[in-house]
Amino acid sequence: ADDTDGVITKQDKQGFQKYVEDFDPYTMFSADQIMGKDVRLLRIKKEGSLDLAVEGGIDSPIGKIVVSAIYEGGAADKHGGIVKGDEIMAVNGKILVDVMLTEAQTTLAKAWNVGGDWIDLVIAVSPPKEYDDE
Amino acid sequence: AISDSEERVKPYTLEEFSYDYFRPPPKHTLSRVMITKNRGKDKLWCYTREPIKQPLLKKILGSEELSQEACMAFIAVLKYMGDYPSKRTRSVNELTDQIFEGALKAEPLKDEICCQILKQLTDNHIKYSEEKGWELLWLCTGLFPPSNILLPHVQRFLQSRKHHPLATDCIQRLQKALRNGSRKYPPHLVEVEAIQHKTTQIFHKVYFPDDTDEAFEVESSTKAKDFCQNISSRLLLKSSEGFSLFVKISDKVISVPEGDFFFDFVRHLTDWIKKARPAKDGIVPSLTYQVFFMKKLWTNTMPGKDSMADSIFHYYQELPKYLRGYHKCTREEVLQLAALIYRVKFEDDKSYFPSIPKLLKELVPQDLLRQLSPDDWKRSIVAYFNKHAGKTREEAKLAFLKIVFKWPTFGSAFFEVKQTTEPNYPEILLIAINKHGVSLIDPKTKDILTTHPFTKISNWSSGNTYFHITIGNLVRGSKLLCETSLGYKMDDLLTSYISQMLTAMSKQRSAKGSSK
Repeated sequence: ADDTDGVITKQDKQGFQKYVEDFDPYTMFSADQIMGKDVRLLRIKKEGSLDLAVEGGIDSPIGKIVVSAIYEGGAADKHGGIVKGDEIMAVNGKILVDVMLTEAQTTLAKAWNVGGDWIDLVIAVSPPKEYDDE
Repeated sequence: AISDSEERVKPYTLEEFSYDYFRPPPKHTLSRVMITKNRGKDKLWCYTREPIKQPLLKKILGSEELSQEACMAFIAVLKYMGDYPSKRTRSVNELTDQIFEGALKAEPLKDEICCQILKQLTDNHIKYSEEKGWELLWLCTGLFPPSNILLPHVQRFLQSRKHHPLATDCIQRLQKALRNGSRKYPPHLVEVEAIQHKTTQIFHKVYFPDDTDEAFEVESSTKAKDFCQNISSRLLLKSSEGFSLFVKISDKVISVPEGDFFFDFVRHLTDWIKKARPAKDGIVPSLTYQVFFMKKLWTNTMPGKDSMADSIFHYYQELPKYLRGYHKCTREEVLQLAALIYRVKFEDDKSYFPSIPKLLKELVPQDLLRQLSPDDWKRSIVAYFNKHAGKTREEAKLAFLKIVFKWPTFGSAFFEVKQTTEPNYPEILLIAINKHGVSLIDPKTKDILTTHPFTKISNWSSGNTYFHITIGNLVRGSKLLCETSLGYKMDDLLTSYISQMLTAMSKQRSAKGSSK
């Protein structure tokens, strides 16, 4: 139940917050941008590579930036709070809701490679699948 | 005993070829008349243990990048043959990748690699090294043919060494490479392992929907289409049309394009999975795969036309789709079909009647199970069973197929998706792709809401998380966006059905044209 609430303030061994509890999405987005979405702020520790792939973009059929793969053993995988299908809404404060894929990829790469010990991702959690997807 | 003349036939070398096409010897060579014991080293077409600092071929000298790659490949050749110190390699095909990868990407390197291997097989007196060299030549002849200029020299090289067990096989592989064209990826693990175990024949297991499998010979030059035809004729199918090879690896089942070399496709797939799942703490992820042969496109499938196809494929492929409840059917049909499924399982044996309530999941579509009590199902199924007295297992399969064949959803691939573009349709949709096009089905009522024929689909795309089609033209068309992780499959099916349709149309047109 903790996971679905998304309000865990558990600190991991390194002392980094997994989910930022007091994050208020309305300070970043307009009401219609986050309507019906479960928006969370994740803080991922920079260790090794992020190993997260994205697809979509404003000019694509889905019109948003979505996680297309989380590779095993990478920092995103180890963090555990993000899965394939989640929308990435912002990276380190930069909003990505209306950018093209390449811009999102550059932003992610830059955020990972330049400065700081962690990266802040604002994501909209994809709802659990109510259909058979195998 | 070998006669003198035979013994004296000198094995052909690249000496003559080298005068015109190898780089010129270094300038100081002529002045070094003194050094006699090093003479062997100066013959650029002969075996050496020294890494080369420049490529063998003149034509590559101009390119810094290719030259470098040629020299690196040569070190890998030396390592593979045991002529250069090397750590224990991590995988069987690590060195062969280093040897052939460059050549497969850049045409001029193909002749270079071929010459390097022939060089190392010329005047090589180290038994181990020579044997390993032959392995490389065997692998090389299965990947690409040499250029027209080099080809006769390679052939004479092999002809004059027919005493070697691999020479004849290499000559044959050369012929096949000339006919089928060049591969794209370096040798697959299976190929390298085979030749290292001194076997030139590779057998590959292929699985069928009726839960059986058989081993088929595959060659380096085997294309998916040849493989399919080989399987079809072994299984006595009337035609291989619509059938395809599928490779199941990790959680994906991917169809092999007809024109692809079988080993290229598998190699490409395992490389891609490896990239997606990098070795964790040195543990390489499992890359085992299974090869399936199944019906993919059901355009011309008519039960009764091809009894082996019905028996091995059509029945067993349609059965699970039916049991998942993807079709709309009447109670009458469900009881008929359940009795037929029972007959396929047990033929005339009535001793399993008491187990029917336990077997219901294998007899009745899952969503209908609760419509009757298990004993009521049993009673009705038994009644229908008795109507088909004397029918054999094979006849029951055909009778099953003839019922489901009447439905517009026969021969479909079904996908459960979440759609986000059409407010009048339910959010969760069942999509069927079959010879009629793309149908949207209400998952509760099983009603077909609409069918978009292939001729109306103007565009489609897919990602890891979605599938998208445009129906009609951009101005007056509609779009359908589906959330699914099976977009790659839908994309492939749509592409295959449409290209099959286009080929059929152009055949028709040319037939009409010629009859005029």
